[in-house]
Amino acid sequence: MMGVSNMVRLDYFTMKPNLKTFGAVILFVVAFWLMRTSLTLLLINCAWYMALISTNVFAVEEKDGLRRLYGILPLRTRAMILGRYVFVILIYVVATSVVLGLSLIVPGREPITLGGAFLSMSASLLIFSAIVGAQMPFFFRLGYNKGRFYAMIPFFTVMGLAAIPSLIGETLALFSWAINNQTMAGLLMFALSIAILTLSCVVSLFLYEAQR
Amino acid sequence: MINALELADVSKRFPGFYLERLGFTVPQGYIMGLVGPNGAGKTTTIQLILNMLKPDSGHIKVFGLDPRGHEMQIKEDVGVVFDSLMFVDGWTVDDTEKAISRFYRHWNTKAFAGLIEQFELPRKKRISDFSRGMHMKLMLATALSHEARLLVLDEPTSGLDAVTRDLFSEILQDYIKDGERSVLFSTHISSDLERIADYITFIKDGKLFYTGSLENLMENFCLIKGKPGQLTDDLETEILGLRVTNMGFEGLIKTEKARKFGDILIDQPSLDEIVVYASKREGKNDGCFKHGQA
Amino acid sequence: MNIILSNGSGVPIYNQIKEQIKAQVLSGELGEGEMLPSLRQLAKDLKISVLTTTRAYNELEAEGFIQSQQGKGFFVMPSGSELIREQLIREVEENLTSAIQAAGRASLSEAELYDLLRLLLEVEKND
Repeated sequence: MMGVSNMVRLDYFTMKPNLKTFGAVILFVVAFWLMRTSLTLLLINCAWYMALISTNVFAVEEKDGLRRLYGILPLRTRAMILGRYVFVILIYVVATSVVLGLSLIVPGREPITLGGAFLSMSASLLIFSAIVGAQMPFFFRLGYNKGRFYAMIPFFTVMGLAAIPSLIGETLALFSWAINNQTMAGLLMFALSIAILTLSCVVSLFLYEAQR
Repeated sequence: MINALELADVSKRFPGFYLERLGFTVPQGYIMGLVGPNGAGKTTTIQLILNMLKPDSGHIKVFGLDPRGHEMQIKEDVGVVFDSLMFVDGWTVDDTEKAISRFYRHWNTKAFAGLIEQFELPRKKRISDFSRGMHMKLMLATALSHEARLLVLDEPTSGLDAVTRDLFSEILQDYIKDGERSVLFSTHISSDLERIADYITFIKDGKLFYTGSLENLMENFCLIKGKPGQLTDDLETEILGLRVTNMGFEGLIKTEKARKFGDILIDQPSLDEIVVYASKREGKNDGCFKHGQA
Repeated sequence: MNIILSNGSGVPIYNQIKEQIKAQVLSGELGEGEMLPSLRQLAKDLKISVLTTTRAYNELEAEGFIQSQQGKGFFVMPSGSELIREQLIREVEENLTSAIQAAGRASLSEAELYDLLRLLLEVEKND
């Protein structure tokens, strides 16, 4: 849809005034990581960090009252929401590609297999999708500030679950299986990410429409 | 000629507020003022017209089309100005045009440039540095640059100086000059409307108080003033917004009713006075029209 | 066509427009067959609502001073000045009638009334 690309473009312009600040912060943090960690850890850090940064567009939207603008423009609600998802994912893709590219240049890296890289990227995508997928419906329904508060709930739930002693064994078993079946695990995680994002998008649309 | 805007029996319920069976029509080529005290339902009405809210009942037609079925078409044809900036703080005028123009099939770059020049807005300065008047001018410029046939303004002139308000009035009159374009102008600065509005819709507490020509409204109501002794019970039931002091009483009354009470002073109210007196909640009479009679 | 409006005079605006147009027709400033500004142009120039100019023009048309031609505009009727003259003569009649009645109440004789009239005409001439 034309609407989706228009919305992505609009979101880009929305974040554009802050581009320099953001760019600098990201670069600084990433440079710091690049020095120290393995590719896997790097990509995983990228995931949660970009999840934080890319949803900032909701903050600007709330601060400047842009929902009214979206209401006036010839822009279908579906296109608006889908466009926002595309924008957020695009930021992750761009940032991760840059980081990946840089890490290949920086010397002193431990060698990694193709399979290992694929696994790491999928894991990264999954983490990003899980965080963003859980948060965005809250942002659409409640706005950024309120949404951020309530969006914490899924995380603490998951972290809480992961910390339960009885489940730790299961988690570790999962890890070892993944490492032994890298391609399979990678594909599964990739598919799961897409599923989460799609579900999240549908839920966001439903919640947003119900508000009217 | 198709009406620019038609509302019939439109209702919307919120916790604590009920917009009840609202109906009015804006014929093509005219200016309609939407007046009423704060919280009366003016902004809700505008949101319903723009499909930002869905009515519980009743129907709305913009150029004969239902907003629920023809949202895109209507939004191409309607220009909107709100009472506060709805663009990103950090944008420049150029950024605004770049961000918005792609959404419209008929964005007119020349018209936009002409208006920006007329309003003397710097193109490359951040709009966070603009004054409130400049914000309004920017919003007006964008609303007028995509061939909109209906201009909807929600309290755009509050807090603006008289010169800017006068400029707005002039632009609106120019806008309807071809007889094809229409304006819905919601404001609580009634003096802005008194000269240029053709029609008035007055909403009070979510209900329609009056809709019809401005002239008719002004002729149908007058101010009645008298000494305390002259205030009979009969008279009191007919007066809206009754105000009693040691000096005497005054209030708003329908002209036809005033004729009965011969020797008390009758005066022509301004639109502002009509709104103020009719909006008061005390008194035995709340004057609302049933089902949109004029 | 020049129209100057007064806000505070208490005379409705559409009425002011009517009277000033009639005056200009009578004085010849607005000639027979001359085209008046369009409803919307007039509204814009005078900064008033379109409905107000519409009412003024409609009433002038009903009274026979101007005529609207589909798609072209409003034009001054040839009989315009005649109609106004008739209206004014009627006004003179009415005023004279009330003067006569007032004179009767004041017990003025017919001769005294004629003298008064002649005196006032002299005064008017000298102004």
